[in-house]
Parts: sequence; structure tokens; C-alpha cells
Amino acid sequence: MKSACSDPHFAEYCPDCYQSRPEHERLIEQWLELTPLVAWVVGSQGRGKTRLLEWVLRDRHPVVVHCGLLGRFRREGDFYSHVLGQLGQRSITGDSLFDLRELARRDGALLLVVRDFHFLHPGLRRELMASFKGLRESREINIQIVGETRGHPGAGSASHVTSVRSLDEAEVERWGEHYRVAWRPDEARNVHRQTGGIPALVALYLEHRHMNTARPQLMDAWTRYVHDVKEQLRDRNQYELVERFKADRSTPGDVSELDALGVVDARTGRWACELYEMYL
Amino acid sequence: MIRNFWLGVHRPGVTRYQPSVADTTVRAFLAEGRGRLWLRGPSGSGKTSLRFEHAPDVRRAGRLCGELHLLGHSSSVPAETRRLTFAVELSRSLGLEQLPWKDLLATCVRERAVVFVDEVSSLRDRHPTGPIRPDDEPLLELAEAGVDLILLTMDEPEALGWPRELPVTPIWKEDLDAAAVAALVAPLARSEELAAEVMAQVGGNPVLLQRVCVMLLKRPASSLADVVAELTTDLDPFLIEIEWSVRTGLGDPEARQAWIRAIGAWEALVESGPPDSESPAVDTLRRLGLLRPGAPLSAPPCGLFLSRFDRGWCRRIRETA
Repeated sequence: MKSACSDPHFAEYCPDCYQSRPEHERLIEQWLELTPLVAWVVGSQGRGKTRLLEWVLRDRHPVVVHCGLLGRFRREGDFYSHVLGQLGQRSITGDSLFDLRELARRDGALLLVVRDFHFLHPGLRRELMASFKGLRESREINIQIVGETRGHPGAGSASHVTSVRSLDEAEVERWGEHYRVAWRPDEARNVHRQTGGIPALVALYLEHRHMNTARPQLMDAWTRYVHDVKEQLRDRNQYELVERFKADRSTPGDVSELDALGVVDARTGRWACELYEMYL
Repeated sequence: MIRNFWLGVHRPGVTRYQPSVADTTVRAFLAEGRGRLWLRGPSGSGKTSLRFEHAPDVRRAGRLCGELHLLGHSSSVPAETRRLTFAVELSRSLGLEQLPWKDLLATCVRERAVVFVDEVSSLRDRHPTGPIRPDDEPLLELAEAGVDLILLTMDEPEALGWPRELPVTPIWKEDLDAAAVAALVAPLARSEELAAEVMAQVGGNPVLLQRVCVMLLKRPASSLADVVAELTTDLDPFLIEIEWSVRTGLGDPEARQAWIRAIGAWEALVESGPPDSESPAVDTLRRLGLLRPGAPLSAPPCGLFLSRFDRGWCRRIRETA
């Protein structure tokens, strides 16, 4: 299906490949009836936040902000100025938030997708949460903000939040049926054990299974994914958390942080999946 | 039978507003008062609901009435820009064509306009270094020009750098007595005894009062203990919000130590009862809503908070901070 969105990164998703997360989709669809709206999809890496939002918002022409590219931003003015830029506008008054509000008033509905909110500077996140709250409570503005983030978005956000988690064994099996996989005995259980039900890893398995590719190619795809996770952790100076976990020297705070990163399950104190245990 | 009511949560047209002493104060101010009315309450205490309840009435009565939400304004722009945007927002909110700032102020005074100002506590972020000056803050300029203002805040004015003010009215539903709560849960058996138990659990917190009463009415077979257990173990947005406020505070390098002290004060309270004296940590707990604003320190916090934010929670939050 061709996406109507102008953002080339807001990729088109094939309806045959998208794995439905009906409970989340229904919830987000309900929220989208509201304006103004500030809503959050929360989940660790690989849990399907991006795919879910891309699917639900595929025909709604969102403006997408990639926070991973805004690491140097420190003030909310920078953020809103960037949003105005995405809309092909510049600040008229010098207060970009005000100008965005005016734009939403004048031109009608504005749907803003804030991707990877967790990558923003903590001070900026706090400022933005405050201004998002202001937008949410200003009844006359036709603006909707839907964000995705790994940890909790912050104070002021709790009324519209959904958490996407790893799949359980039955869900892995159901996803396989979507790919018309004729499961062999114990196959779904083994896939769940290896992947921990992390949707991105499950999807890689199913794509390879569907294409009948050889096992080494699947392992190559899986290890590349884990390698990417490792590189991201290194880039953000978080890999030492993994090293302490491997050496059994983690503090409860480390485990909690690794849980938020989706690497460890804090409830069990174990790796989120066998693949992480082997290759991370 | 009252099935739908609202306290602290904005649901106009869906649920019924439950007035309190703060509403009487607002009506008295609107009828006779001049100057400024400060209404103080923590997050979730019904400040915005109060604005939504009264502002339309004022307009219907033919008086010029504006509403400003300070969080909707950028905190990092020069004063001149802020004055410009403030004037646009205020003119629109009052239903006036856009006027130059000085003319707008004069019109507001001449016409006896009243302006509800929400999230006044955000002034603290806008002026972190000290007292607010009128030439740097259009809201203070509006006040000094003599425009009637109803200011909704989580903090005492002085804590925001605002010049000394008249006594501040706390927004809380302490005045919602057991008889009123009994009326809310009247369809249920033992409603009077139940009302007293509900008040002990919610301690006058408007959001929790609503949550508990609505759950009891929807599921008459459930006991209060069931409802409290569900609220404290389930993902209730209001309770999550409190936790996230704490986590956000702990994640802020500048505020972290203050929040650690506040958690310590709460843990001491959970373990050995109310603190002996006021402190910045106690003030943080009041702003958060865990302690009742305006109540003496000896007043017990609501049972539901004590169950949800217990010793185990304090330990976990400290360990993961």
C-alpha cells in the first residue's frame, strides 16, 4: 500500500507483511478521534512501535520528527522551529511554539509524529512535556501529537499511553500463520525462546522462513540485528551496562536501565532473548 | 442517582461537576472581587476543571472573560516576543480584535475583564533566577495594570518570584464532607459508613475520589478493598503520573538531590508517621499531591497513596534512580 505521507522515512508498509497488533491499533484509532491529543507508544527497541504507528497513521499525512537527528537541540524553541521547517514554514514572531499553534488554528488539523523521543536531551524532554501538556489543554487547537519512546515519556503524559511488549508464544504462532507458515512441532516454541518474542527478530525469522532461505542466512540477519543493537549501545555509552550484566556485577539500577533498553527482562533478571545472550 | 460526576478531570458534557469551597470563592470573587484570586492545588486537584466550569458562565453572563494557559507558551523567548504572543492569545481569548498591548490592557481594565490563568507555576521555569519584573513578564504587567485575574497554581506566589500576595485559597475537596460523599455512593449499601471509608482512602483527593466512587458504582458487588487493590496494582493513569513525575525529577541532574530527599521524607512518613516540621522535601510532596496542601502536617495522607507508594516502592525507586 502506498503511503500518503510526504516523509520518505515514513516508509510504506505492505499490508501483506504488516503484523497486526489489534489491541494497540484500536486504542490509537480511538485516541485519534480526539483533538487536541498527546499520545504515546512506549516500548523497548524492536518491540514494533514504529511499525505500529506507521501502519495506523499510514493515510493521515503526519509530520514526522526524528529525534535521533536532533541530539544537539537543547531548547523547545529549536524543536518547534524544526517542526515548522518540516512544514515548510519559518517562525514569524520568534516564538516557534506560538507560530505552530497559529498554523494549526489557521490551516486545520496538524498531526505530528515524534519518533524516538528518548534520544532527546533530558532537559528538552522535560520542556517539551510541559508544552505538550499546554497544547493538550488548549481546547481550541486542532493539533495531535503521537510520540514513540523507549522509557517513560515523563510527567504530564499518562492519560494516553500504550505499551508494546514482546510477543508470547501464542502470538508468535499467530504471526507465523499470517505468513502461511506450516509450523513444525515445537518450532514456534523454539523461535520464541531464541527471540524472546521480540517482534523485530520474530519478523526476521518469519520472512526468511517464508522465503525458504537457508539457516545461515537467517543467522546472518539475526546477528546483524543484534550487532546494530550493540553498536547503538556503544554509541550512547550504554554498553558498559551490558558488560557489567555479563560479569554478574549489575546493580538494580543497571538492570532497570537494561530492561528499558529491551536487553534484559527485569522481572526475571535474565536476557530478553537467547540471541542477545549469545551475541551481545 | 449520581452515576457521573467529575472532580479534577475535565469531562464537560459527559460527567457532572462537583463543586467545592473553591467554587464559592471563585463566585464571590467574580461577583465583587477586584485584583487577583490565587487558587493553589497540586497536580490533579481540579484547577483546570474549575477554569472549564466557570469561564463559560462568566461569558454567558456578558462579562469579558479570557483564558490563558501558560504551558502553551514557549519559556525561552525574549520578553518582547512573549508580550506580542501574549497579546494575540489574550485578545483572541477575550473575543476582541487584536489590539496593541497598552490598548489591550486599558480595554481589560475599563471593561472589567476577568482572565483565568492556568499553569501559573510554569513561571518558575521561565524566571528561574529570581523575582519577576513587569517588564520581563506580561502576566505581571497585566496584574499591575489592575486586570482581574484568577490564577491557578501549584506553588505559593512568592515561590514563583511573584510579589507578596493576599492569602491563597487551596483547591482541595476537604470540604466535601462525609454526607456529600455518602450522597455520591447513595445507591450502594451502607453508604454512610462507606463514605467515611472512602474519604480515608482518598483523603479528599479529587481524582481518586472520582475513580473510587465511579468504580464502586459500576461494580456494586466489589468491596472498597477490591477497588483500592485494583487501583494500586493496575495501571491507573493518575498514579502512574505521580510515579513519572518522581522519575522525571530523579532523571534531572539539577533536581535529582531534591527529589531523593523528598523520597526519603515520604519513606520516613510511611514507616513512622507524619514529619515534625515543614521542609523543602515536604513542600515537594505537597506539590506532587502526596501530602494535602493547606493541611497540618499531622493530617494522615490518603490510604490509597500509602498502599501504592509503600516501602517497597520507595526502595525500588531509590535503587533504580
